[in-house]
Amino acid sequence: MTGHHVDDQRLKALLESLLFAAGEPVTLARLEDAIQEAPRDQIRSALSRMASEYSAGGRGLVLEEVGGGYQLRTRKEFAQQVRKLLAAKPPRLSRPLLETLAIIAYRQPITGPEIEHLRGVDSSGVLDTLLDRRLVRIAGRKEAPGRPIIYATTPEFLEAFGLKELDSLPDLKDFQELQRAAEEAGEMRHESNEPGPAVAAAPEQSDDPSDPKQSE
Amino acid sequence: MNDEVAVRIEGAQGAAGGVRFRLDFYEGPLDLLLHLVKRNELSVQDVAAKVITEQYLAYLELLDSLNLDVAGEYLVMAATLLLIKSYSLLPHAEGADDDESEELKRGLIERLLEYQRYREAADKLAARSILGRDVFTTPGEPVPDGVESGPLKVSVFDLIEAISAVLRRLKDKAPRDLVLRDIPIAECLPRILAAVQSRGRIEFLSLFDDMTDRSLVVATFLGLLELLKRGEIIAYQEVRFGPIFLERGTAPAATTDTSSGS
Repeated sequence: MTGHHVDDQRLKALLESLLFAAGEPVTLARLEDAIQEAPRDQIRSALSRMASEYSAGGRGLVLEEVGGGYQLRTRKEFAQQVRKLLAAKPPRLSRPLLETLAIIAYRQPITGPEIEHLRGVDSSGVLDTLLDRRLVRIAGRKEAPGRPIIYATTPEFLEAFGLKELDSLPDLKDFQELQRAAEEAGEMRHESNEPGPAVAAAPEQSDDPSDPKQSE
Repeated sequence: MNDEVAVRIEGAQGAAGGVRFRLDFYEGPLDLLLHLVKRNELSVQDVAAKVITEQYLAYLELLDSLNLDVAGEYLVMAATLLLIKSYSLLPHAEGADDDESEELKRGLIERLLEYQRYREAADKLAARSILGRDVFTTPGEPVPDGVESGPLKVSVFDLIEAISAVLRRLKDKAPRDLVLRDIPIAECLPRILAAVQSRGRIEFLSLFDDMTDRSLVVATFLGLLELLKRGEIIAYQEVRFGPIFLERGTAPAATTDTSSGS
């Protein structure tokens, strides 16, 4: 059987088998290669219809685009029961780990020293954990003094966090905006406290309500 | 590997003969500053406020009194805060010094703001449907690694604040530092585990209820940090600033042999 004659119902069933067996996200190209008997466009539209059928409800699975491919996943609302069945411990995602991961995700490619500067603390232990868990990879070395290692996220990172691609990361809060807001807050305080002439840097002291005499 | 309350405890003979422990926060001085800013209901713009500097230094002193050493980054930050403070205390001519102080302050605020941005991004990541936690697939199983994320996590700073309250209370109750005994931390571990196990969960403070010996409190606290690090115990709050609870973690109970000696 060749060409465009694949029955749509059959194609969807086939795709379901393939995605179930693969587990990992499968790219359209790989699906096309395995199926052979349907053109890419037909596969793509079948996948899109499958996705809406799954999400329409009454099903235990969802079909999602993550990490550049398609993946069948369990419904989030059953997470607890699935975990219990598998006796699976969820991946440990501590604050320092997520923070380092976020920095790499948004700033990649980024060097170790740059990460440490942003976090203000030695991050080598956290970086090792991220590498171990394949959420982050070494993307080379920077042509700079000391040739520091460059870090980037992996496809596994996209898969783990259900991201279609790096561009699907939510926008970082605008830094300029944050800075402006903070400065305005500071100026207001400055005006309301009119420091005495002798002490130039009084505003930050007047923030301490327990010690109003400090600026004397 | 566990890094929620990432503390590496290593016994080492200090110069004075006392035992020193090294506290490796993966949480850095910027975390501590943000923590203090929030606690005082100030904005990041106020990070150089006197009250923040004082509390920051008090923290380092407290850690020192617990025989804990902190990473050098904490001391660098302390120096920066003190430098800003010294500029503001010294009466000086208008001009260069002033600019320098303002610049230091601005630099610090910018760093904190930038840092806060990534903290928020991290929170957003954590809220996503995470493979192995919220959603599953076949047959790729997530690498089991550590402990389930409970309700509100407790940061190492919250724990240190709680233990400082215990130590203050102790000061009122008992003659202080009559004898400073060396208590092997390894001996504290089974006792802590048993206390938690017997009731399912216990309040952090109740662990120290019957203790009047400062050394014992400190050793128990350090033992608890070790257990948290291993994931054998988890600490959480049900509400922000609420009581801290301890519960058995999902990590298998390791043998109680430990490198953290007396």
